[in-house]
Amino acid sequence: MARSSTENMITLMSSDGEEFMVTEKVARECTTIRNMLEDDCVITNIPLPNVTSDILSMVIEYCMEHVAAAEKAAAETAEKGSSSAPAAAKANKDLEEWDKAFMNVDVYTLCDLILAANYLNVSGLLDLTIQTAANLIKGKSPEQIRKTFHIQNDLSLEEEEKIRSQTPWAFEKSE
Amino acid sequence: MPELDRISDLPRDIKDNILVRLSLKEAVRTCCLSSNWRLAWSSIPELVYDKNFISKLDASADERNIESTKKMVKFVDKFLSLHDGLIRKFVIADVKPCSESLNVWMAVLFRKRVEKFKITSSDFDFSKWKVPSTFWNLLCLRELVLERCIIEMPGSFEGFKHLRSLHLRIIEISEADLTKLIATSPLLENLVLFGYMHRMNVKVDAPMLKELHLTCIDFQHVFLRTPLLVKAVLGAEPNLWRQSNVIDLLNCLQNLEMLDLRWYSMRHLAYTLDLEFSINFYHLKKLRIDMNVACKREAAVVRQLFHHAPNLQELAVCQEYRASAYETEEWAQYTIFKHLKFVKIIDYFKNHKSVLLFVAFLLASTPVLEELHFASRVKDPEFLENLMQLKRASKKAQIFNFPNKLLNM
Repeated sequence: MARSSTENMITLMSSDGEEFMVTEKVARECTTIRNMLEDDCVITNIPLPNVTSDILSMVIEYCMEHVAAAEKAAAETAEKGSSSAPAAAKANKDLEEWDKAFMNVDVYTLCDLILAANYLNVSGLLDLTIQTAANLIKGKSPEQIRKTFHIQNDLSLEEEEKIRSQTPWAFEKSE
Repeated sequence: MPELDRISDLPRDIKDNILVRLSLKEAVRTCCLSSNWRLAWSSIPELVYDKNFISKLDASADERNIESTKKMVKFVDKFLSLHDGLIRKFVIADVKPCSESLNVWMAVLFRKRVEKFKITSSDFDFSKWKVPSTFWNLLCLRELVLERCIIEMPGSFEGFKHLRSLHLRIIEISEADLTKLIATSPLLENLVLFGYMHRMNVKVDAPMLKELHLTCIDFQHVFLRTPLLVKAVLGAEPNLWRQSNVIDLLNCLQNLEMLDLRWYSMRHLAYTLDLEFSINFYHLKKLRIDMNVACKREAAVVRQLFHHAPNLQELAVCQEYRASAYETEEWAQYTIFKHLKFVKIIDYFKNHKSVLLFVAFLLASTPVLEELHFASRVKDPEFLENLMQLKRASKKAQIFNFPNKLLNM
């Protein structure tokens, strides 16, 4: 990426004071930051008080990977005049694999990533993390879900029975 | 990492977004996780009651029987009565709803400002249900799919002002109502009409329409006023070769980027069109046709289409077999496809000589061709050998064979 050196660099500051230099293009992946830049184009230093450095570095990693993939696809299209369907399909699959590996995190980090993706408005990452959370619930019993997400059951046995009896069809055994 | 419960404290809209990706049953089941989750499901903005759900609800029973429908109605009633918040999407698939419950649901969905509404019936149930008058209050609708129903529009109805997408399959509706339904949806971008609408005029007056699917129709009775249309899928019904002026219809399709002529469309055009027709499809990039390459008249229409679509990039041809035509067509090489890069050919039946001539013509007249995919139901080594030896105008052209396999088109 030869162009990077001439591109505007933006500094993002995490809640714990760590600074991250990124290209404007990468920063623009976050709709929240894009809106800030469009409101005030001379801004170069953006504090993000809701995001810790661990999580911010992950969000940046995600944005960089997706920007690079988009640039690669655009370059191929420009070179060939139009994109070749099989090549595009392979690139998509590679990116999906990357996303999948990227989602290999504990549930604690996953929830932090959801909140960060929501706050920074990175639609691709929000969709990915939320789908990952949903996949962790799918096909599990309530007890397994509690264990996965460390949810404390504060309901008494009687209360739980009562709640279950209000929507018995949801608990009918059929799977 | 500490074993902290983070998911329970996520904001409500994020929890809704997680739950909406589960089946309804699984989403509702989260109510017993803890006190925090007790009512989490009650604000899910989508109710999708589809085939998966029915089989889960009642795995052994016949889906179409009365018990199953009763259960479905009971479930939807319960869901709607406990629901808190807005409902974006309401989908009931493979079940025929009864009119009493429909009226109640419409009243609730009106309050919930439903945006996407879809009711489809089981493939084996041919009876139709009547759309209740309360349906016409759902003015927030953006997407609507109705199947096997009877539609009667109240005279006072002023239109779905937010509707973007309208799919009507096998419905009973008067010509006037259909025309009005389309014309009073000013934002309509996507329209699908499927079903035998015999001798009925289909007037599509939709200034924002981008995509149109008309299947099982008679071209003679289609009138379009769709200046922004870029994609059209047209499927003519069989046995309607009455004299008609389809040139008006084709004239309305001049800005298309993608055209798909299915079923008997090509035959319909072949027998109703003046073969010297001249309509330019400058913007056409993708063309998909069902045709019989062995039929002279169809071949003549297709040649003419090719000739007037100079910017074509992708072509898919589905070779149909019809007993009526056994002529073999010489494909005169007077069209050069300057931009055609991808070609798919499906040969459903063995009509190899004319197919080979057609492929030979394509390979010889496509200087920038990259890939030609050929699929056929039968495996014929001799034919394939002939195919591979054909002269190719493009040095980059590769031929891929898929014997015994029909490509997905």
